Amino acid sequence: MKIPKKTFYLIILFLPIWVSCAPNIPKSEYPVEIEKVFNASFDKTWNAVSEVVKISKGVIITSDKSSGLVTYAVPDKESESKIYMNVYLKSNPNANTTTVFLFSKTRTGPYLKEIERDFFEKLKTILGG
Amino acid sequence: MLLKMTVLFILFFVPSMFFGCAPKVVTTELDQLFEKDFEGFEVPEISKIKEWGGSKDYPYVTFDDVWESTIIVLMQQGTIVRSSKNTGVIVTITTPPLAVFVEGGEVIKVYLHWMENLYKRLDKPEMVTVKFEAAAMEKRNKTFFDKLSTQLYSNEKWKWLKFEGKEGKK
Repeated sequence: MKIPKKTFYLIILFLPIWVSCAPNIPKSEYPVEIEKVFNASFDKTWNAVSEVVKISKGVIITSDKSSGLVTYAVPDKESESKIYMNVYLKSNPNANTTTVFLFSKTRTGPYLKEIERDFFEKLKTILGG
Repeated sequence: MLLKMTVLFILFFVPSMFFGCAPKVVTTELDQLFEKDFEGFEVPEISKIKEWGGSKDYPYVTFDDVWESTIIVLMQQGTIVRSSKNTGVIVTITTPPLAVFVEGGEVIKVYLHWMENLYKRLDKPEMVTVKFEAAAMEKRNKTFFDKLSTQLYSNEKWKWLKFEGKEGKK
């Protein structure tokens, strides 16, 4: 099969652009976990989240304890940009537990790597397993 | 043929290497806010949010229900950069950035205001880098309100149907 000359030149022309700017979509080995229930009061969990922010060298963008919301930015070493962590705490007073939601973002969209696992593990450690 | 390929390579591949994936330079108010981690960012006044955007009523639910659902919907859409339950205002950086005002009362009302002004160029404030069509904004309003309704009423077992049923039995 012979490729027409024009098509061949077009492929040569656009191939570098397609290849050089293609996003690197990582494959996950774990199910994405965006919420987790902790056997701790709201206050204790809130303080633990603040500790995670400190350990991660995060910069707080906004924090509203009455809403249970904190957003912080952490540097992404690989891309040299920032990851924005939206954390929301919901108190379940009857069960004395707190549900923690996490959505990580970049400037342009969702953060596709497994940062949630690391966040929840740090939080679990601080809350005493 | 080899000469043509070499010329094509030099003309298109080499410049694309340098400019195609080059990092964005600071040009807009939004870029500047990202650079400063939103330090000093001022939330739009409630009167402006109410004046410029769309709105929707959410009956049969409390302010807290709406506030919580709004946070959950917004944190999936972008980065929440300001939030105050006291004032009822949340600002999220998405495309375009969005300010939401949740108004308490007998029926909770949610107002949206898309902050296209953050795309103003720093060197020429009369110009914006991105402009959105009115029809597209209407569609965005509808999408947001639909998501919020789903989040809000998904666990409510369609209360109004229950109320209407009770009324009907009388």
